[in-house]
Amino acid sequence: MNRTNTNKPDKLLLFLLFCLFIFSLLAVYSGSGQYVQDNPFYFVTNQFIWYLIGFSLMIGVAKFDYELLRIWALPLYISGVILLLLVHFFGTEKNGSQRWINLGFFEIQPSEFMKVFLIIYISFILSKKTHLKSTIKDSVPLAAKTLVYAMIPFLFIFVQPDLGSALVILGIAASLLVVSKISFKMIFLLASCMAGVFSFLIYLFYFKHELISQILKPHQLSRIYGWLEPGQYATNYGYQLQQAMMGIGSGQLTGKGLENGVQVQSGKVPEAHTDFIFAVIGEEFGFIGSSLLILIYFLLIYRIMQIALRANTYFGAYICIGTIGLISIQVFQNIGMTIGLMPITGIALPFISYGGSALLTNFIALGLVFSVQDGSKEYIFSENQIS
Amino acid sequence: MKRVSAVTMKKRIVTVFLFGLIIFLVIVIRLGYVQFALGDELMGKANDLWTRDIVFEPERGLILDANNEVLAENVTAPSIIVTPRQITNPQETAEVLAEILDVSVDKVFENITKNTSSVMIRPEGIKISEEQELAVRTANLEGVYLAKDSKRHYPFDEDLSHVLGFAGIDNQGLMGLELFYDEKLKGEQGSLSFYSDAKGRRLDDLADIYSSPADGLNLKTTINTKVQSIMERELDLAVSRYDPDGALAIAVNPKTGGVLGMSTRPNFHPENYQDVEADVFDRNLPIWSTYEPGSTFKIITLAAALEENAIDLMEDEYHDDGDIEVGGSHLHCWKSGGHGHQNYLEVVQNSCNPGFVNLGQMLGTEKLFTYIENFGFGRKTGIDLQGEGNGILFKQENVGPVELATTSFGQGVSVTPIQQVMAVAAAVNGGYLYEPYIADEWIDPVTEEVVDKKKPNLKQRVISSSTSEEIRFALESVVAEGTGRPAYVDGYRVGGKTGTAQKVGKDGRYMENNYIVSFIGFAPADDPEIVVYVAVDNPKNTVQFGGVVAAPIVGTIIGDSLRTMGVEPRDDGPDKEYQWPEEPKVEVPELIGLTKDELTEYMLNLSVETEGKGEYIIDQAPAAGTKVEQGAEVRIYLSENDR
Repeated sequence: MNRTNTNKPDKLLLFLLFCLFIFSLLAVYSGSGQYVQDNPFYFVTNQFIWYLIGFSLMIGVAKFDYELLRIWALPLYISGVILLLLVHFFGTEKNGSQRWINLGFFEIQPSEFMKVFLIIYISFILSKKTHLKSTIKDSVPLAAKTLVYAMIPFLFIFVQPDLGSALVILGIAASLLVVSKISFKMIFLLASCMAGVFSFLIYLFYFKHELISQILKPHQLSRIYGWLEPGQYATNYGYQLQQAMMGIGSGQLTGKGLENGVQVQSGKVPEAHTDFIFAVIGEEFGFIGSSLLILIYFLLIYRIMQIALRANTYFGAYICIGTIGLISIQVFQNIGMTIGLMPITGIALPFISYGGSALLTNFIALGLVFSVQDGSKEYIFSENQIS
Repeated sequence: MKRVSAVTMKKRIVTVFLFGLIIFLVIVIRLGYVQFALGDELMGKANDLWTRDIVFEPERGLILDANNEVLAENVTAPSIIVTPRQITNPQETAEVLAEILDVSVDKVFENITKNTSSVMIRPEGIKISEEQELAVRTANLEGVYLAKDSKRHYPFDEDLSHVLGFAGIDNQGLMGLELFYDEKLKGEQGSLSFYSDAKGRRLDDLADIYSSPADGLNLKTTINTKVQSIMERELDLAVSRYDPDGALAIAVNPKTGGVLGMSTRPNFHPENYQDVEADVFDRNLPIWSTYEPGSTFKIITLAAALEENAIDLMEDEYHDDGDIEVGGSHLHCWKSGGHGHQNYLEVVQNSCNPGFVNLGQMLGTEKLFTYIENFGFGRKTGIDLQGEGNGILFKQENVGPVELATTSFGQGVSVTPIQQVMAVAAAVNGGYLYEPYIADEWIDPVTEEVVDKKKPNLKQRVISSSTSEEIRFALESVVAEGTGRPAYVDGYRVGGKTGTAQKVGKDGRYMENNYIVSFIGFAPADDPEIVVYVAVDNPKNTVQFGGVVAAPIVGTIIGDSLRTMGVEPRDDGPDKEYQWPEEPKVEVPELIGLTKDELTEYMLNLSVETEGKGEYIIDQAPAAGTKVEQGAEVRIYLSENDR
């Protein structure tokens, strides 16, 4: 065992996190203008505190030996599902969906924690079966198991309804499945099924409207309308998209400068400090600022991928991959919806959007990544290392 | 962990990563598309949404006459603005406002309970009168404010109403000059654009954009208010005397085509245009109406014949036996039995129809119609007012002998009054056909500099100046010795021509005992300064003849106008030839210095009134040399001592 001094936390990762932190404070400050009552720094201060809490949580998780989570994987998963059950029956309802549990002083969003628990649990399951061959036959039980474990929280979250988080759950499961030992053919089959279902839904949307209106809730449906036909539905959901796109579009190359985004400052873009924070970045920081942010995300997942490659154990690698799935699906969802690539779902931009639960979740996931990185360097010549 | 499987997993991790890379690329590409390709379009859309404008209304330009008399101006008239949220008792407020504005309580109540930050009561609460303003101030209602506003004011009231037109509630030109030159008069709105949030709150971080309003330009017209007032007075007199279906008058400066005055009856008050039927303010008769001109049109035939040297006014003769046979039908002279033996000057003086038919026949269709078209008939004159008529001429290929004959004395063609005025102006001004116009200069309201000045637009030279001189001579003799005698003005050599036009009824036939009687006159005949046309539609209680009804009106208008315009009286003109019951005026003799006894020796056709006592006449009124009616009163002042 060759203990090196490389067990220090990854500097690039920390630097990227710092960049995101700066981005977040600026964007939250600017975007929250329309909601601020007397103290313009109210949201920034809170976001700062959230960052402190998240960062501490991340350090705590990073110090924790992720290998021990093998034991906790199932209990965490079960407790996550129980929380979702509680939400389902006793949750607080806001804006037509039931996502929160009121703890009196603080509201938590179990679907957020479920994302991390799912990463851990599926990583655990997949890492147990590292020696099977990549045949369809062998893949079936594992794929089935993974899908079932993913579908349980997916359905709970879907009916809250929170399409965005539900898609994140799917995204996590999908990215883990791709990396797992499961046969590519199986993956291809599953992907085809997904594509089929999606196409079918689109078909229903355009041609069998009565049917789909029974499956989806009205507000989800109108978001899809807003996405597919923003011009026509400019008054409600399409309106948000239209307004956000106007802002981003008018940002052009260099943007209008901090606090000068008219579309954002005028309150035409709703939730400009939370879900629609990318509109602030797009309008005020322009293409340069937006691309820089996307580059940071890209470097972030690139770094996490490198850590995954150097991980000591499959379990650690899977956790990293799950985290990549978690972050990139959120980024894609969030930015995608503000520039008309995706339907509007209530999903935060990781590490940028103002808000507790989602930010903490991402910090915890990143903490796990740090833990994996920490471990991988401790035993650099370990037999267990995947290299 | 087996090496092989680890490699597989590595490959798969890279695969996932590459997949992620593609997603990120898609985002960046889409972002670039939104920000660059769609950017400008989205920006434009967004800009419209962002700004809330406080509008600063420009001052509408004044309309002035040629001597800078104000014809249209702006006076302050506040508008009521109500802030519904500040009203505690809407019912009471509604009742008070309804009373002041004379509207229904329900309407006010509905307005002042709207869920908006401010509301106006349209149109009654906009541009309210002084009394209403005072009443609103006195009532001192909560949430009811008076906003500064202005409305159009026309100091000359009904005068020139059809020409000036009027402006609407938002100071937009709706009729007449106000409409025709709305773009220049209205100026440009200024605004204070400030960025506001979705709730309409002001965003102070973003700079306000102020663009100052540009006041409208002042319009100086060719109108002479004094001439206009004389015309209005005379038309009012004519209306009260003859109760006609309509009446119109035009005065034009023949040297430029500038309109000195224009009036229509029935007329209206531009500030209360809603009080009359739309037909009244829509129809600016001098340019809108078209009808058979009658004898005034003979001037054109005469001009053509003289220019073509078809006749000599004095030498050539025509015998009128009362009718003339044309193409198998008989056309009668207006005087039954005819005018007998006349030279062509007398033909003109007598307005002898067969004589003019003869002129037309001498010219032939092509020449006569070429002149008619050259004089501007059959097409718009191009005056700067809306609603001008074209008039109707026979098509040359359809003109037979009868059409040629009737056209020669002004029947069967249809023309507008302004066409006739401009044609006659051309006939007497040396042959220059001008485009009539009213807008003369555009003046910057701030610097008072002339921004734009209209140059008279000479359309065409229609006849030579010698022909024009002959026409002036002939038409002056019409007034001195012919049918136009009532237009005679002592000292101003008036020339002119009567017209009595038949009207075509709904059945397509000429109406009986229903004529448009007209007179077109100009003066002074040696150098015309003014051309005046008056037409009275279906005058009652009189002989419907242009010389009787319209000629005296034109005479008065010309006489009074030339005096106010400061035109020197002439003394070389022909004397009026008197016909019974008209009597020539007598000149008051020099009486001062005579004694009372000597006075009785004078054969005076005057009545004498004396003042004072004594033998000697020391003063008299009117002064010696003044022409007065026969039997008029002369006042003499007596004294015991000679001066």
